[in-house]
Amino acid sequence: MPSSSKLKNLRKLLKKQSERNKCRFTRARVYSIDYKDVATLQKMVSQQGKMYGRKRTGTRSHFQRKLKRAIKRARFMALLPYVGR
Amino acid sequence: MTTRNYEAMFILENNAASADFDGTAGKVDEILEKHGGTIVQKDKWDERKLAYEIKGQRRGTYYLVYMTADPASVSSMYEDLHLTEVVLRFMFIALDKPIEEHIATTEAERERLAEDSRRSSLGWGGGRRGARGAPRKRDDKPTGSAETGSAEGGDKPAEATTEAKADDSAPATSGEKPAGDDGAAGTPEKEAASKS
Repeated sequence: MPSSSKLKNLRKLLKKQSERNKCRFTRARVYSIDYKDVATLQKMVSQQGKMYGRKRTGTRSHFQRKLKRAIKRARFMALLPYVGR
Repeated sequence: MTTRNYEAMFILENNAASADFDGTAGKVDEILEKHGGTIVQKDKWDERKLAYEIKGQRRGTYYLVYMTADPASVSSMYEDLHLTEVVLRFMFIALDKPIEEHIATTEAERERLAEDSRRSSLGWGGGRRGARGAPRKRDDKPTGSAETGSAEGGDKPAEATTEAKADDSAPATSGEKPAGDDGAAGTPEKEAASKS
C-alpha cells in the first residue's frame, strides 16, 4: 500500500498534468487570436507550415476555429508560409 | 452613413519604404482619406523577411492603420490600392470593438499568451514526448549512480528519439527549455509515483 505522502505527491502530479493538457488560449483567458502574434501562431504549426490538430495541442474547438482564421490571415500577409520553410 | 472600425495592414515595397517611409505610407493614407476613411492610428509595424516572395520581393515593410470608414467605400479603396505599385499586399479587417479597446485587449492577450508559454512546462501545445523527454534527460545524470544500470539502459533509446523529434520541429526545441525548469522540480514526484 502506498503511504499517504506518496498519494499526495501522485495527486499533485496528476493535477499538474491536467493543468498542462488544457488549451493554452483557455489558460491565457483570451478573447480572440491575433494574426500578428507570429510567435504564438508558430507554435501551432509544424515545420512544414501545416496546422497541428487539436489532439496534439489540446486546443478547445472554439479557439481552434479562431486559430484557423488567424493562421490563414498570417499566411496571406506572408507572416507564415503556406508550405515549407 | 454607417461607419465601421477597420484594422488595415499593408506590405509596402521595401526599397521605397526604406528610402522614404513617410512618403510611401502617405500614398496609402491619401487613398484611404480620399474615399472617406478617417485614420485613427497609424504605425510602422515591422520591417521583416516575407515568408514567401510577393511580386519578386523577399523583404517588406509592414504598415498598420486603424481607421473608421463606411463599409460601402471600402471596395473603392480596394480598387485604388490594387493599382498602387508600392503596396505589395493589403488586408482589411472589420473590428467588432472600438479601436482603442481592441488595441488594448489584443496587447494584453498577447502578453498573457507569451507569459503562459514561458511559464508552461510544455512550452507548446500538448507535446507529451517533448515534455517527458526533457526532465528525464536531466535527472538521469545525478541519480544515475544511485539507480541501477538497467534503468539507464531503458531510458537511453527514449532520449535519442526525443532529440530526433526536437531536430525536425522547431517548436519542440523551444518547448524543452521551459520544460527543464519545471521538470527538475517535478522529477522527485515522478520517481515517488513510479515506486508506489
